[in-house]
Amino acid sequence: MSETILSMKDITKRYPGVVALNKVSVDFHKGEVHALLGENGAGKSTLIKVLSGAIENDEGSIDIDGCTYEKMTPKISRSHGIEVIYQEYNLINSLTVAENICLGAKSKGLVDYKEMEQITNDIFKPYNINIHPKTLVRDLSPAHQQLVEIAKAISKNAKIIVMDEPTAQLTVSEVENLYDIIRTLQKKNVTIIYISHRMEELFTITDRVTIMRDGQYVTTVKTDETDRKSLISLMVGRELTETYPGRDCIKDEIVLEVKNLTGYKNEDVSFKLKKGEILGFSGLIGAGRTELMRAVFGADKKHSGQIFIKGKNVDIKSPKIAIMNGIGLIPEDRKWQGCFLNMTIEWNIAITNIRKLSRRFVVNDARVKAQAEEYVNKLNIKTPSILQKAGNLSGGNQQKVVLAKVLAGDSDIIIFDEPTRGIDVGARHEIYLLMSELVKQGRSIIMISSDMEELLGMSDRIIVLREGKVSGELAREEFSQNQILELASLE
Amino acid sequence: METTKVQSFIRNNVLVFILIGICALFSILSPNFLSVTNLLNVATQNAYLIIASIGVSLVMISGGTDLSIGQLISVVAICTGAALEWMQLPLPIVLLFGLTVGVLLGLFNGFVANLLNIHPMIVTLATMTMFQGISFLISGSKAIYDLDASFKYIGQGYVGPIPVPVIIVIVIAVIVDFVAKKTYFGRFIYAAGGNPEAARLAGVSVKTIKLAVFAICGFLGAVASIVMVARAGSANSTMGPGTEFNAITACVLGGISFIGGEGRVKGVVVGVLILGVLSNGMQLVGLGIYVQYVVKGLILLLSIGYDTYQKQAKVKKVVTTKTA
Repeated sequence: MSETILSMKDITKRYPGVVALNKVSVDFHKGEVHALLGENGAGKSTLIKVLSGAIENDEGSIDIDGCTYEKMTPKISRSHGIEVIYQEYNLINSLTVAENICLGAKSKGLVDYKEMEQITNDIFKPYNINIHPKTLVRDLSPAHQQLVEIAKAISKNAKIIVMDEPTAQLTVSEVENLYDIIRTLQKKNVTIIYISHRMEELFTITDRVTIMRDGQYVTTVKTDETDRKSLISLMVGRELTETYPGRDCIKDEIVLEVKNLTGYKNEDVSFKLKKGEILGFSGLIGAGRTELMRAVFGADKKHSGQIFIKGKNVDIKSPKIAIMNGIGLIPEDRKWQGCFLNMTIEWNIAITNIRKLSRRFVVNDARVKAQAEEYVNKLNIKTPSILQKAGNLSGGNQQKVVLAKVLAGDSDIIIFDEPTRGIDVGARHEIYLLMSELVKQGRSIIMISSDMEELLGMSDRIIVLREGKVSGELAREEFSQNQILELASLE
Repeated sequence: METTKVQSFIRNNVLVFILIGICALFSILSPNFLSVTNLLNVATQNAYLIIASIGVSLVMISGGTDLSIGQLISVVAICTGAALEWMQLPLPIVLLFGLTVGVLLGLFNGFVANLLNIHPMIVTLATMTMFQGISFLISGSKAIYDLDASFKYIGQGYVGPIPVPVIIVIVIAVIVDFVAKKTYFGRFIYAAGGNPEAARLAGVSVKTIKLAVFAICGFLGAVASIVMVARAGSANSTMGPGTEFNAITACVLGGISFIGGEGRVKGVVVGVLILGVLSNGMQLVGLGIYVQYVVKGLILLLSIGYDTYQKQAKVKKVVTTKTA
C-alpha cells in the first residue's frame, strides 16, 4: 500500500522579492488520498503548478515512475498520468459531455459520435455517474461538470489526480457522491492529491495530510493520528481557537420582512429578519437561495410579493433602491459580481458610496483615500498599497475588498452569499468576528452558506429552502445537521 | 526606487514619447515640418477628429462602441447647413439645432441598445446605415455652399494666433477629462464598462450611464460636425463617413480598451495627434497616401502589440505573486 509513486525533492521556486516554495519535499504513495493543507499563500498551488509543468521550479527534482526530472513540462507530466482538476473547470461549455471527454484523443479521420458515447458510458459506469453523454456541458450543474472533469482525467488513464478545492461548489449530498468516486479511484490504485480548506473533509476522506506554511514544508501526518486542533496550529503556526464568536444582541424589532415572494426560481417565500440577528439560509445548490436574495436585493425581477423594510413597504426594483434603503449584498461570485479587477482597491471600496464622498459631482479624493485606508486597516486587507489593483490580490483579500465596499455603503441589512468560500482559516475567523461585530452594532445579517459548520456556528436561526420554497425553519436550540439535511433534500 | 519611478513614468507616457519621437524624426527629414504654422495646421485639421474620438472613447470606456459617429456627423452637417442656408435661421439657433440633432441621434443609439439589450456595436452598425439614409434624404445628394461668414469663423477663425477649432478641442478635452476622472459620474462610466454586473450590484444604473454616454457622444459628434463644416465652408452628405474608423483607431492607439473600463481622454488626444502628425510628416517627405495607410496600420499593430505584451507580462507577475 505505501509504495511511493511520486516524490518531489527540495523544490524551490523564487519570484522577485518572494520565495514561493522553499526546499519543499513531499512523497506521495500509490492509491492514497493525500491532502495539501495550508493558508492561502502557503504555496500549495505553486507546488501543484510545478508538478503539472505549468511553472518551472528553480531548484529541486521530481521522481516519478523511476524517472527523475529537474523540471516538469505539461507534456511530461501528462505522460506520467498526472491530471489536475482546477477550481475553474477546463471544459468547453458549448460541446457535449462526450465531446469534452474525448477531446484531444486521437481518432482516425472522421469523428465517430457513437463511439464517443460508448467510451463515455464505459468510463461513467464503474463510478455510477448518471449523465447522458449528449448533454451540453453548459446545461450541467457545477457538480456534474466536476464529474465530467474527473471522467476526463480517468479517460486519460490518470494515475495521480490533483483536486483543487473540489467541494467548493458542491452541496452536502454531492460531496458524499464525490467521496464515493474518490474511494473507487483509490481502489484502482489512483493517487489523489486533495486540496481543501474544509477540515471535516480531510478527516472523512484523506489518508495523510501534508501541511505547508509560507512556502515551507511543515510536516506530513497520518490523518487518523491527528486532530483538527493540531492541524490548525500546524497550519497557522499558532494556536487558533476555531470557535465561533458568541453574542447576544437580538432585538425584537423586525428590520426586514419578505411576504409571499415569487421569483423565477422561488415560490411564495416569506420570512422575517430581526435587528441584530444572523439569519442563515441552507439548502442544496439549485434550491434558490442566491436567486431569492438577488430578488430581495432587486438584482433579479420578482413576479409577486412584498418587501417591508422597518415596517415600510418598499418596491425594490433595482439594487440602487435596495442600497438606498440600507440593504447590502456580498455576492457569491466575487470575481465577476463583486470586484472591479482592473481598478485600485481605493476605487473599489468607494464605488458604493461615492455620491456621499462627493460634493456636487466632484469626488473628494482625500475622503476616498481616507475611507480606503480605514477599511484596509479594519479588515486587515494585505496589500502593499491602496493603489494596488484589486485583480492583483489573493481571493481572501478580494473578498475583504468586496466586504469593505458593501460596508462603506453603510447598510443596516447585509446579505452574505457564501461569506467564506475559498478563504483560509485565519481570514475566515476574521470574517466571523466582523460579522459578530456588525450585529452587535445593531445591523442584521442574512447568510447563505453551504458550509454546515459555519451555518450552525454563526446563525441565530436557520431557514431551509427546497426547490425554491421554504421547507423549514430552525431556532438555535433545534439546530442539527441531520434535521437540516432532511429538510433540504428532495423527497 | 528612483529608477522604477522613471520607468513607470516612461511606461505611463509611452504615447507622448512616441509622438515626440515621430515629430523629431520628421523635423530632421523635412525642414518645413517643425514650424508653428505647420503644427497648428495639423492640430486644426484634426480638431474634428479629436472631438469625435473623445465622444467615441467615452462610449468605449462604458463597454460599448459607436460605429455610427461618421454618419451622425453627416446628418448634423446637412441639418446645420440646411438650417443656415435654406431656412436662413440665425446662427445661435442653427448651432442649437445641430447640437440637438446630435444628442437625439446619440440618445436613439443608447435607447435602442438598452431596450433590445444588444451590444452597442451591433446597434450602431444598424443605425449607421439608417443615418446615412437620413442624411441623403435631407440633402437630396446636393451640397450646400457659401455658408455664412459668422458660421465659418468657428472653423476658420483665430483668437490671437490660435485657431478657433484648437481652442474648442482644448476646452472639450479638459472638461471631458475632468468629468471622466474627477466626478462620480465618470467613475460610473468606468464601472459600467469594467464590470457591468458588479456595477449594477453596487447601485450604479448601468442603463442610465449608457444612455448618458451615447448622448454625450452624439453631442460631441455634432460639435465635430459643426467644426468640420465651418472649416470646409460647405456641407454635403459625404462629410463624416469614415470618421468612425479613424476615431476607433485613435482610441485604441490612445489606450482605450475594446472591452471597456480602461483608458484616458488625454490618451485619445495623443492618439489622434500621432496619426495626424504621421500623415502630415509623410506628406511633407513626399510619401503617397497608400504608403501612409500601410504605415498607420503598422503603427496601430505595434502599439497594441506592445500594450498587450505589457499586460500579459503584468498578468504573469500577478499570477505568480498570487500563487506564492
